[in-house]
Amino acid sequence: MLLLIYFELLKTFSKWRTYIGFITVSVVIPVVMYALYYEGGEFINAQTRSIQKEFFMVGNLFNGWVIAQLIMNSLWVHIPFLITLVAGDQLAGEAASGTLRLSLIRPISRSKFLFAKYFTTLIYTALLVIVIALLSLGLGLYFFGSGDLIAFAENSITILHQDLLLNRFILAYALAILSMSVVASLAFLFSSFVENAIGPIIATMAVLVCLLVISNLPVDLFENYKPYLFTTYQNAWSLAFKDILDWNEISRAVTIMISYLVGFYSLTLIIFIKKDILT
Amino acid sequence: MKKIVLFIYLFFYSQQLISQFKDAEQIIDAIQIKYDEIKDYTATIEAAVDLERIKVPKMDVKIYFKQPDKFHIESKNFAMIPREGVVINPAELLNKFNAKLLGIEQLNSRPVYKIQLTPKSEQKLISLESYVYIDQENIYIAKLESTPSEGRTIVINFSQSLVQNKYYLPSKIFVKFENAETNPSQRLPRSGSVTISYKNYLLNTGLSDSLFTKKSNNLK
Repeated sequence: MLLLIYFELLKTFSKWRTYIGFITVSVVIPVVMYALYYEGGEFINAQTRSIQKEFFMVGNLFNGWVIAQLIMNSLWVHIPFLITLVAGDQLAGEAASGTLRLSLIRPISRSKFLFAKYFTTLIYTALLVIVIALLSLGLGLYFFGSGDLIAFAENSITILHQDLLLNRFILAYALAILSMSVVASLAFLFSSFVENAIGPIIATMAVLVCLLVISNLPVDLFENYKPYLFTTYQNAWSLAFKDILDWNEISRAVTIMISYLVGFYSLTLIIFIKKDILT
Repeated sequence: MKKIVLFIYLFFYSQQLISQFKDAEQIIDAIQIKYDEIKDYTATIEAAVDLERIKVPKMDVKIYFKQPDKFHIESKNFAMIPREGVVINPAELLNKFNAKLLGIEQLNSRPVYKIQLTPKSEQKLISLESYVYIDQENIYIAKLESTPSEGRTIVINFSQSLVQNKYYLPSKIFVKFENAETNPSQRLPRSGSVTISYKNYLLNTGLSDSLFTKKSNNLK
């Protein structure tokens, strides 16, 4: 199985499209950092202006942790697209290039072949988030220094002591990997339906946009469904930046996301095993 | 009958006490004299913030003060300290407000002068009305009530202690923000409290002016 995963990793990372995500974040993150450096933390002043009317505020709030959190906040809507580029291509890409049937001629079960591809997709997803984490935190802390984190959420502000932040960010990125893995699993599922990678990418993004709208609409009609939509937990990473960690909420988010992972993969497995592969 | 005698006694006693100072300006001037004796001070403060919609860990801060109004805060971590109450310059009170002595009241079982402060200039409206309570025996500010123009009320209770057996300085300040209206769209906390404890006072050590030029929070 490890050898199978190794081959799938080789195949995935020999394609140019795999690097689009890494190149994009490697360009966007330094540009965002430069823009924030140039702007000099004015956005923090703007957010805290009303508080500064009544309080002296001291300490470095314009620091690497804040920048990393800001980047995470702005990228989590766009990262799914970069993930679907690879996840949506895993099965459909092979079908389109005519190598799928050839690969399955080998004496390995379809389920093992599928699992190797799925695991590779998850590795890519995790790697992309880890690269974002390393770039954001590495460059952020190098250029902006350390300090406490000011986390803005709806109408509240939470200040987290810098001693807590490494663990909180590890938790946040772990939750981000999980939520992005759900997106990857959906694209992987769609990839098993068709023989063209464009379809799964567009279908995944379409589903994502629709569900995100429902998850964020403050309408009573959808309230009962929201807890069961994976898009409701798309920004589950922000739970790591609450004053006191709500483990019940985190556990619920993790349970729902893992359920979707298992569900999407199981469905893909059923479809893939029964599929009449002609190309 | 005894009650009437007691009432008459207390009435004349309070009038006599008021008459120690003819008016509010004299009381504030008396504080100013004591205040001017402190050329500078350094203190470490612990602040606990309990504000609506704001979660802040406990803060350890070092504050520096130098006459007449130089003020500097240092902290390894983030800190937010209320602008009102941390340092009150009596001269500033008289510059900005008209003071009127209303009488003597009891505050924490101690007699205090109650002084009403009304802004001198409507252009620079600081608060609609303010009351300052001054400990009668030791002549220090014991309480400050302020109603800013936004309709909020700020009440500051001062616990003072004797430093170097000579100067009364705050050992604890409790700042309470209250507001009848709630506007959740605003980030400004509408209600809550901040408790500040002062420790390790160092007085008249000759603090350098340069200390207050680096990213300082000078009183404005």
